[in-house]
Amino acid sequence: MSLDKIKLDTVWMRLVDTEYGNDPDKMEQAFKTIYLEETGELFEGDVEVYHSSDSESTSNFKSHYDGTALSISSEGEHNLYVISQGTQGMEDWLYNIKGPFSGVTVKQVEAAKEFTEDAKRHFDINPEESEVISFNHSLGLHNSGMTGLTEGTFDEVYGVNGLMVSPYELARYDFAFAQEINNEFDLRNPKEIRDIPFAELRQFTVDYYRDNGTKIHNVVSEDDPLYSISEKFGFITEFSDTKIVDTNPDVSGLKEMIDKIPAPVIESLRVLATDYAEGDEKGGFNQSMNQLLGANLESLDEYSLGGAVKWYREHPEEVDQTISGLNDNLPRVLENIRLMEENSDVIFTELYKGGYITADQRKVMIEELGNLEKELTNLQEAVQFNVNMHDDDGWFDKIRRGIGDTGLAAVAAILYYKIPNSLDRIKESGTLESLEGIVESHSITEMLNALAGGNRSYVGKDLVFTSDAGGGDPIKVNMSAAMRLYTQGITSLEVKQTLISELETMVRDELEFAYKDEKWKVMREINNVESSPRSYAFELGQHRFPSYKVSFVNVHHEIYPLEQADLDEEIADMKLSVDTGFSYIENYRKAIEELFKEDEEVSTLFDLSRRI
Amino acid sequence: MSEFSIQESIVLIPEEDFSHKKSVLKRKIDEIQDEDQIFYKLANNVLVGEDQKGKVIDAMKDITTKRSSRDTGINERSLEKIPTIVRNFSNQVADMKTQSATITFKEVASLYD
Repeated sequence: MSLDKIKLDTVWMRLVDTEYGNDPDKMEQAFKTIYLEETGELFEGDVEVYHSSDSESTSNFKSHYDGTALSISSEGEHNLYVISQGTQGMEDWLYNIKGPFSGVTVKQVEAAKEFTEDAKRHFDINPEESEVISFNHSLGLHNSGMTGLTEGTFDEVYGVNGLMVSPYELARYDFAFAQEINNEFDLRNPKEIRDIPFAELRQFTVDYYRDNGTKIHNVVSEDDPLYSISEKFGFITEFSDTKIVDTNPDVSGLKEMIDKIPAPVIESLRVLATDYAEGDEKGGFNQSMNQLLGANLESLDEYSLGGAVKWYREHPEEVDQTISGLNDNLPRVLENIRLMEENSDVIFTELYKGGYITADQRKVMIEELGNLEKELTNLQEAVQFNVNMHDDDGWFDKIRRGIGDTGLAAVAAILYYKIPNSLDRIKESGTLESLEGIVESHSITEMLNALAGGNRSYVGKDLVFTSDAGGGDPIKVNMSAAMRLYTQGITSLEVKQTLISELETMVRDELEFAYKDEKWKVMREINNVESSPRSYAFELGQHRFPSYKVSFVNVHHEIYPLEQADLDEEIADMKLSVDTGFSYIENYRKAIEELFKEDEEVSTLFDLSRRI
Repeated sequence: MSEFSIQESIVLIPEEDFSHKKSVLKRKIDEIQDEDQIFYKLANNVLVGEDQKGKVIDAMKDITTKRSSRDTGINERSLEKIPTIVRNFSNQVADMKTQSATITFKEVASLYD
C-alpha cells in the first residue's frame, strides 16, 4: 500500500480540518476513517501521533502555534506529515496582522520549524529515506511555506486557502536574504526596506528564492478573503502552484472586487496595520491604540466621569500626553482613513453588488466612514488649536491657563462620544455579521464541497452521500455518521450491557443481599436476647416491675422474604432493548444499502469500518 | 417464689435510614440514560436535515423514534420506581427488627432460691 493517497486533496484537507479538534488521541482513528471514506480502502500501516503541545521546545516559543505530526509507515515506506493549523482564535488573527501583514514578528514560523525538527527527532526520521510533508490551512501554509522556502524544512507543502509570504517577513526571518537586500538596495538600516519601491522588492524576492527545492501547492477559494487581500497586499504567489476554485457560486468572486480597490487604499491599510502591530508587540491593545492615535484610551475613563474640566484639573499629565500624542499621530491616521473614505463608495458598492451586504448596510457603512473622517478632521483641528496656543514657555502651560478651553472639551468629546457613536452604528447595522459569509469561504468544508464530485458532499467534518432512490426528493445520508453508528453504536450497546449488569448487581447488593444481612443481624440479636436476657433488662422493660427481674425470653420471630423491592421488570426490558439494538444497527445498514443499491462502495465502507 | 410472663413487641435493633440507597441506584440509571443519549445521537446524525421524506427514510426515522422513546420510558419508570423499592426495603427491614416476644419475670428474692 503506497502512501501516495494521503496526498489526495480530500484526504489531507479533511485531516487538517480534523486536526482543529486538538485531540491527538483521536487522530489515528480519524486518519484511518478519512482514508477509508476517501479511498474506499482500509489503511493497514502504522500511524503514530505527536502534538505540538507535547513538544517542550515548541511550546517555549509561546507563539500560539498549533500542529500535529503523524509518523505514517506502510510496506517499507515511512513518511512524516506535519499538520499546521491556520487562523483560529483572536491571538491568530492578531498574529496575521503582526506577522504576515506587517513583518513585525516571525514567532509562529520559528515554532513551525522547531516542531517539525522535534517531530523528526521524536520519530527518528531519516531525511534520506523519508519524505517530510506539510499539510496546512490558512496561516499554517504561511508558516510552513516560510520555513520550507528559506530552510528546506519540508519536501512538499500543501495548503488550502493558504496565506502566502511577503518580502518584509522573509527579510525579517531569513538573515542571508536580508543581507542581500541591504547590498542590492544600499540600505543603512533594516527599516529602510519599506522605502524600496514595492514592485522592485517583490521581483528581487521572487528571483532570490526562485530555485529553492520546496514544492508548495495551494488550493484557494475564489471567494477566500485572506488570499484575495494578501495577493493585493503583494504577498508572493509565484512560489506555489495555485489552484483557484469557485467555492461559492452564489456570490461573485471576492478577488475581482478587491482588485477594484485602488492600490493606495491597500497601502494605507498596510500602514495602519503596521502601526497597530508594532504597538501590540510592545504592550497589547491599549498600546496599539496609543501607537495608532497617540491617545491613551485608559485616560478617557477619567474624562467620562467628570467632563473635560475635571479630566484636566485632576489628570493634567494624561491630558497633556493625549494632546501631544494626537498631535504627532493623527495626521497620518487621518490621511489613511481619508483615503479609505474617498473609496468607500467603490468598496461597499462592490460588496453590495457581490451579494455580501444589503443596500441599507452599504448606506450605513458609507455614511459612518464619512462621519469618522469628519470627526477625525475635527479632532485634528481641535488638537491643532491647543497646540497653536503653544509659546516658548511650553504649550502645556498655555493649556493650564486656559482651563475649560473649548478645544480640549472638543477633543475629549470626539474621542469619548463621536467616534464610539459611529462605531456603534456600524455594529448595529449588522454589516460585520453579513460579512461572515466571506469568512465561510475561508473554511475547509466549503472547499471540500466544491471539490467533491458525483453524489458526495460534506457537512462539517463528515462525508455525505446523496441518493435519488427514495422516490421523492434526493436523500442525503451522512455516511461518516452511519459508519460511526455501525462501529461506535455497537460499542455503545456493549457499554450499556455492562451498565445494566452493574445495575442488576447493585439492586441485588443494595436490596436483596442487604435484606439478608439485616435478617442475619436480627437473628443474631434474637439469639443474644434469648440466651442472655438479663443483659437486655432495660430494653425488656424490667424497670417497670421493681421486685422482678427478667428470667426468660422467647422471641416468636416472623421474618418474611423481601417483596416488591426489585427492578426485575425494568432490567429485563433494558436487556431486550440492547438485544434488539444490535439488529437495529444491522437493519439501519441494510436500509442505507437499499438507498444506494447501485453503489457497491457503501457496503465496502460498512464492512471495512469495523476493521479500523 | 413468683413469676409471670407478658407478651409484647420488642425492638431488637434500632431503625436505620436507608435513603442513601436511592441515590446510588439513581446514579447508575443516569449512566444508562447518558449512554442512550450517545447511542441516539449517533443514530440521529445519519440523516442530514429533519425534513427528508421517503419510504425507507420514514421507516428508519420511525423505528429510531420508537426505540428512543421506549428506552426513555424504561429509564423513567426505573427512576420513578427507585423511591418505592427503597421504601419497601426500609419498611420490611424495620418490621423485621421489631418482633413479638414472651418475657418472663421472676420475683427478686426467688432468684436467690
